[in-house]
This record gives sequence, C-alpha cells and structure tokens, in this order.
Amino acid sequence: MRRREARRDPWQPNNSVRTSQSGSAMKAFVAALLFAAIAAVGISILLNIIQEPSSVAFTTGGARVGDPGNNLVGPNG
Amino acid sequence: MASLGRFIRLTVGACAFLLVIAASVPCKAQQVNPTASSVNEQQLLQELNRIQGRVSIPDQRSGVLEQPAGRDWREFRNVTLRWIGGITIIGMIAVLVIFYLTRGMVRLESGRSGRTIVRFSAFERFVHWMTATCFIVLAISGLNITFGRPLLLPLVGFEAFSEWSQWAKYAHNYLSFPFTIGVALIFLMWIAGNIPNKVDVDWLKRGGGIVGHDHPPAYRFNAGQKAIYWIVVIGGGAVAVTGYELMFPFYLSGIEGMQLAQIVHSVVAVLFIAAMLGHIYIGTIGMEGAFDAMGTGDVDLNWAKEHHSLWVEEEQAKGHAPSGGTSRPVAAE
Repeated sequence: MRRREARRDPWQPNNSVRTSQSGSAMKAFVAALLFAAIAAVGISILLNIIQEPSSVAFTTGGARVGDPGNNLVGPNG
Repeated sequence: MASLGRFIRLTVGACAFLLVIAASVPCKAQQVNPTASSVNEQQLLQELNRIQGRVSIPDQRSGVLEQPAGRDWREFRNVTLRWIGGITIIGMIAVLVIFYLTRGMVRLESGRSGRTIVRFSAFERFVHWMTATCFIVLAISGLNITFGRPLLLPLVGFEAFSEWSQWAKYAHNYLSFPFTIGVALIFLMWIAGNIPNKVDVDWLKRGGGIVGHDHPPAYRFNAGQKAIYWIVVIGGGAVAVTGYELMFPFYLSGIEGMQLAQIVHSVVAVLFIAAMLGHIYIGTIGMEGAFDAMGTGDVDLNWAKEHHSLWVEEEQAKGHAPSGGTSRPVAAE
C-alpha cells in the first residue's frame, strides 16, 4: 500500500523523482543484460546437446581421431 | 704428313664433341618437364570450374580441393572488406567529431519544464537495451574477425589473441540469438509508429532540427528515428539470416552461397555499425535530454514539444500528458 502511495505522478517535476527514475532505468538495463546472458548460455547448451562435435560426426572405422580436443578436428576444432 | 694426320684427328674429335653436345640438349629439356603435354591444374580449373576428388570420410564435401570463387572471396575478405569497413567506420567517427565540434550539443531551447511525459515503457527499454548490448558485443567481436589479425595480434601476441578470439567467437555466435529476438521485438513493437508519412518529408526538408535551430513537427518517431528503425529491422534481419547461414554450414547453401552470405553479412554489418555510431551520438552527447527517453523512460515535456510536437498533442488528447505551454523552466543539471 505504501509502495502505491510512493508511486510517482508521471507529471511530477523531474528533480523530485530522480532517484526512483534512476532505479527504474537500472532495472530495465540489468534485466536486459540478464536475459541476454541467460538466452546465450541456454542456446549454447541446447546446441551442444543437438549437435555432434566434428571428432564424432566425421569419424569412421577407417579414420579415427586421436586425442580429440588437442588437434584440429577435436571438439574445439 | 704427321701434321696432317694430327689435324684430321683434331677435326674429327671436335665434330664428335659438338655432336654429343647437340644431341644432349633435347634430352635435358625432356628431363626438366616430362609431363609438359599433360593436363595441368590451371587447365582443370578452367574446364571443370573446380578440382575435386573422392574422400573416405563421411563428409564428401571435403573432397573439393580448389574452387576459383574462393580466391575472389579471400581477396574480398582480406583486402576489400578491410577498406570498406575502415573507411565507413573511421569516416563516421570523423564526421561525428567534426559535427560535434562545429554544432555542439543540440540544446533544449525552452529549458526544462519540470514536468515529464512517459516516452518509453519499461518493456520497450528492456528490449532496446538487450538488443543494444548484444549489438555492441557482436560488433566488437565481428570487427575482431576482420581487423583483429592485422591490428590486434601484433599488439597482444599470439597467445592472448588466440584466447580472446576464441571467446569473442563464442560470444558472437551465442549472443546472436538474443539479438535476433530483440530485432524481431523491435519490429513488432514500433512498426505502427515507423511508417513513413508526409510529416517526414517536411522534417527532412527542414533539416530535422539538427542543422540550425529549427524544430519541425514530428509524431512519436521523426524521420531520423524511422531511418534508424528500418536500418535495425532490415540490417538486423540481413545479418541474422546470413549469420545463421554461416553458423550452420551447408544447411541452407553450398560453399558459394556461404561466401556470398559472408560478403553480405560483413558489408551490412560495417554499415550497421556506422549507423549505430550516429544513433549513439545523437542519443547521448548529441542532444540534451535525449538519453532520458531510454534511460528513465520519461522525457521533459518541453523536450517532447520541441522534438515531437505532434506526438505530444496526441498524448494530451488522450489525457496521457499534461496540457499547457513551457511552464516552470528549471535549470538543466
């Protein structure tokens, strides 16, 4: 209830609401950063589940990759 | 008689020597290039347009050894793109610096009224900042792909450059997804206010208030902002589509298609970066009070009247904004 009372009138003078406005600005910005980071990490996990590393996808009985990850066609290749 | 015999022997010996040398010349030529008459690599490329063989691994595309378009693409990537990117971005920075030094900040001529009007909602600012932060990371990591090797590597060395480039590539790939979401949301959120109309023509004719001290009327988005909107939507869409074509190789096209995608991706990207430098300039140091719109979401009523007078009238008619003139000017902080 108190919060509702403290909610500013949108037509109030700028200087009286400077603090709450700054807080609101930061919230949108921080939320944007968080969402972007979470979406990026989420999609990286999803793609790593769906896709095979080249050392697995392109390995046959006649051509095996030794020490994947430390050569050009390993998981990081 | 004895001298005649010696003369004959010498003559016969000299003739035999010359004969041996003359006979050895074609032999030597044959040893240098015994396959002179066979088909060479250049002829194969001209006839077949590519050189490819058979490979035993599952990916048959790796059998392509040479394709001439690759050379053109490499020339574009290593030379042409660097010139285009360098001129575009450094040129834009130079123009902005010169403009700032000559015009300075566009001031709020009627001063602050002390009353505000809501310009962008929290959700709109959230989408804007998400897209913007992703764009900045994508731009820096993308520029590293083109300019990192000639500019950064000599400064930081192979180890640091390799580590940085690997993380930059991860960021470039994965932050492209929230960036694309942001572009799609921007398109949907603001399409209604960004359809060009006659007011924009007048706004452009009068220099948009940037040149001189005029304040041509505008609705919620003026012609300059509409241009930025369409650059983001079309440019963002283009870099997203071509970027995913490169991120998922051979799903959408072959190697030639991916080379074309890389050309479109990189050229649109450097133009996009230059346009966004202009956008960042005008939203921060270029215009007094402009940052508030995306900072707090509220702008001073006088600012809104100076730059978006028709929008203010609409908001006042809806009861979303205080009516009246430039009341209670307060000192700018």
